[in-house]
Amino acid sequence: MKKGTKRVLAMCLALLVVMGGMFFPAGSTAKAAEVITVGTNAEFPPFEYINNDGEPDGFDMAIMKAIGEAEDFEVKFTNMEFKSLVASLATGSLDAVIAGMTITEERQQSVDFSDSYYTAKQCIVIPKDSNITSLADLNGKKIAVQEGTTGDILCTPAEDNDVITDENTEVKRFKKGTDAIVTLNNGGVDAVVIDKNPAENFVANNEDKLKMIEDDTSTEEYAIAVGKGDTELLEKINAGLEKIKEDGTFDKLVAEYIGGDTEEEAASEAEFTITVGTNAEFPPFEYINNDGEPDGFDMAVIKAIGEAEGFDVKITNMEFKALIASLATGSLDAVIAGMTITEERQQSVDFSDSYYTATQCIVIPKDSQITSLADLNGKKIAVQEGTTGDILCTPAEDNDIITDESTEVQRFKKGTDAIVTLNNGGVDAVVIDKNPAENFVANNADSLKLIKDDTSTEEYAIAVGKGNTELLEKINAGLAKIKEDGTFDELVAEYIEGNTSDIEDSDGAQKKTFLENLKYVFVDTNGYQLMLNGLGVTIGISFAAGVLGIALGFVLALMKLTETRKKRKTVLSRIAGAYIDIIRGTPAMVQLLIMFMVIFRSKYAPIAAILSFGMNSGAYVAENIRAGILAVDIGQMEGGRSLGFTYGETMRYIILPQAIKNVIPALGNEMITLVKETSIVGYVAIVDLTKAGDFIVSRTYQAFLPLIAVAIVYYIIVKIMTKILAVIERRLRQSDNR
Amino acid sequence: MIIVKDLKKSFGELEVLKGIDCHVHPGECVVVIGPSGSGKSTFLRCLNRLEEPSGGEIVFDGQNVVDRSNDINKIRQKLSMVFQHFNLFNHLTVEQNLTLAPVKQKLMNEAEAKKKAMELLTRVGLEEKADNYPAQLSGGQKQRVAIVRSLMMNPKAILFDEPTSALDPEMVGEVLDVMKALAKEGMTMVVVTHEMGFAKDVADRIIFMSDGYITEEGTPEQIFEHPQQERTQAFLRAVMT
Repeated sequence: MKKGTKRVLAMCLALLVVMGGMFFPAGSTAKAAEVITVGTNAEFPPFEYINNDGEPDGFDMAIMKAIGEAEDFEVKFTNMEFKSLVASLATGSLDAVIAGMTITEERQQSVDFSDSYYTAKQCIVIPKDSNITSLADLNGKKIAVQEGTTGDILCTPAEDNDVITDENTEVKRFKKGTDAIVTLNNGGVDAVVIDKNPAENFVANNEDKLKMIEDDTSTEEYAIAVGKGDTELLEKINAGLEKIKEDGTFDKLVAEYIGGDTEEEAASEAEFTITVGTNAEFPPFEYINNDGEPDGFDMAVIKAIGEAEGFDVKITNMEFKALIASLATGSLDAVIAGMTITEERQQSVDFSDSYYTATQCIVIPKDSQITSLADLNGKKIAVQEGTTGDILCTPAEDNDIITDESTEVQRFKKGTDAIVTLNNGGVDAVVIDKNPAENFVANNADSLKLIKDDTSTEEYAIAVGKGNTELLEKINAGLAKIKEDGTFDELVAEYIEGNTSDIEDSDGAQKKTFLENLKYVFVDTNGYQLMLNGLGVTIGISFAAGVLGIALGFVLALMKLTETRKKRKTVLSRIAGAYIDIIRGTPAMVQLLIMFMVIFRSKYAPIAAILSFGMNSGAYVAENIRAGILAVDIGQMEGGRSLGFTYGETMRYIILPQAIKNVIPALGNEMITLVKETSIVGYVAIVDLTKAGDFIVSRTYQAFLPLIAVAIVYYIIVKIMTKILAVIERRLRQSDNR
Repeated sequence: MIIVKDLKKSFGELEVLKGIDCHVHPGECVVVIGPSGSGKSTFLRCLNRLEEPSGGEIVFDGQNVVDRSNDINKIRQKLSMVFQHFNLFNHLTVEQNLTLAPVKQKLMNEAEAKKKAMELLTRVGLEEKADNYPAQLSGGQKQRVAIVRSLMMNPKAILFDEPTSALDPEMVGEVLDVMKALAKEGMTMVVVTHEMGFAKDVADRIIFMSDGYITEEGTPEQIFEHPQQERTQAFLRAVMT
């Protein structure tokens, strides 16, 4: 069995490689005249992180792009593990590396460094009550660091390390700085050693628990690395760096990316915190960013108001239609969610001054005859549930425009799903706010157009609980302040007008051929990367859950079999029976949600998923194994026992080897089911293959290609598993040959 | 060698053995006969505790088989059993069937076990089948392998539970020949069988069972020529015609 599962894994890995090959045409890393490939490790905010589009972003990326602009070359970023960066420079698969990389003698032996663009200090992050005051105090302690960083080098006992000399010092290396901090918060380590900027960030977010000490001995210079001897590129980079320092671009970027973080720190000296609800499904007003946090214009506005008025803002993401009810129950203090002031809502909540004027738009196919809202009577319309579009389109007593009762309104949780349905011809029109509508149409310029409905101009405002005038006044005052000092206009420019520029870009979009579209869906928007990552997650979770399930099933089966042996129920058989009964009696999905949200408190989603699927699978595997054991003739047990074998020995040497043969087909079936069942992990925010497909749908507004691709990949996995099972079965059946 | 005192066995309400007393001497071949349902097989299976006796005492080689403080597995090493349906291990070759128990129980090392297996197989004329799986053997061959398997343990006694009942008639002879040879060598044997010829020729003593009791016992001559009990006479009339 062990051998078999190893083979499955090997085959899947092979599949991964093959798929990678399909998506990367040969020579994709070839060095074009004006494009350089720059590696980074996007796990080091604010220098580098993955933004909402799944792209590396941050100070370093901005610097590199600015240098490229100054020196007339294009920059293509590749995200990889930090410790692979230097090696990739050496093999030539990267032209340069910008990754908050410190100049060290060791590294200088393998790469050449540009002039330093940033001076960083290492910091020790520790719990508030810690007695640690310097790096030397960390001797013999448990320290968390980010793998391969300066902190790692500083803390790891080595011949040339004068500070940490105690060999007992335990260094835990994490891929992400955030994971190191979480471990610190959980008490798993005594300190985290990390660069100053992320450290400040982390401490600001945990200021009730953590403090930090700057280590002045460890000042470091960050520089861009190029391959050893690549002086041409090095000179270009140094020249570009000088240019952007001269023309002020560099300082701007420092202010934007690094200075911005320290501002947050200042803001955290707030007097109180309010809980603000939103529904992060309404870009650009609100959406979930790459850190899984609600982000967007509305979030920025409420935070700016908070800063102006001296309060902290805690954002809670929930369904749009639950927002008002939560205000009423007091679980939310305020709501900012692109919410339109309506009479209906004013009966339950109080609204602030309007901060944005929105117009509803009708999004329709290019060839549609619809010209106004009234034309939608009797048509099929998609809307986002609970939005103004929903109210406008739903026939009701006070609705003067849509009066035809046969008008069919399909309500979606996400605007993107409404657009996908429109693209598929499932509805005639989508009615949605102007900004997201413009966004959507820009991305589907070849198939969709939009009509503004001027009759439905709306005012967005922040809602507070009925009668909470104190908070309302503060919000209105803050809103006035940020409008006065220009912050508000900046945010409009950043979040909302930034989106309109997108539209201009793609106005010239032509109808794409199938191949172009394929390239667009999987290559240009990085869909293949998402799918590969998702595939890895699916295989990883399935494999781990499968191993757990088989082990657990085996134990449960033996527990249940005590009943057959003793010819009466036993404690063990009762426990196993109850377990199997409960697991089989409840949906896997519910088990997953309970495991993740109740038991794991919404942390460690992958572990929760593996445990949940493993436990679920174990119940089914147990019955398969038990049936397989019972199918072995009773005479085999008697034969073994009569030779002086114990029950356990007989099981091990005689019964189980024969039972496995009986069990393999059912077990294989269960494992195949398991692989497909893991497709629900998207519900606990894990991006597996299915969720990756879902993401591509949201990103490209196309359902066909991504979903078919996902289905094909699952099919291939199952096909490979089936083949492997057939081989195993044939081998095990050897003794049946006559 | 085997002393049985007032052995009783019930399956639920049904009392199968109602009080058996008997004594098997070293080197003796005892054949148990009797009508179906008389408890012959149950009696035999109680001897090595494949069936848990409900009452009474069994002493094998000085050890109380029924006493739970004695390691039944050690007792079974020396008190082998041959089954009606052979119970060869289907996933193992003939040789592996023979060597598994002695090797795993550390009675012999692998090489010794293989050597002994080949010797015994040669004795029963199956040396060429060592690498075959049980599914590739005829019934008679399987039963000979099963007998060899019990011999591998160097037992002090062997229990035979209707060893020829599942065989095609033309294969019965080859199995009985092996058993005869064993009896001649002085192996202590308790055989439940319907083969009256074997009982007559080979047995040192015949036990006749009916309705959960031993109702008559004696030499083959006493039982077959001069049965005392009416029940025995009726049975013999039925099987000898």
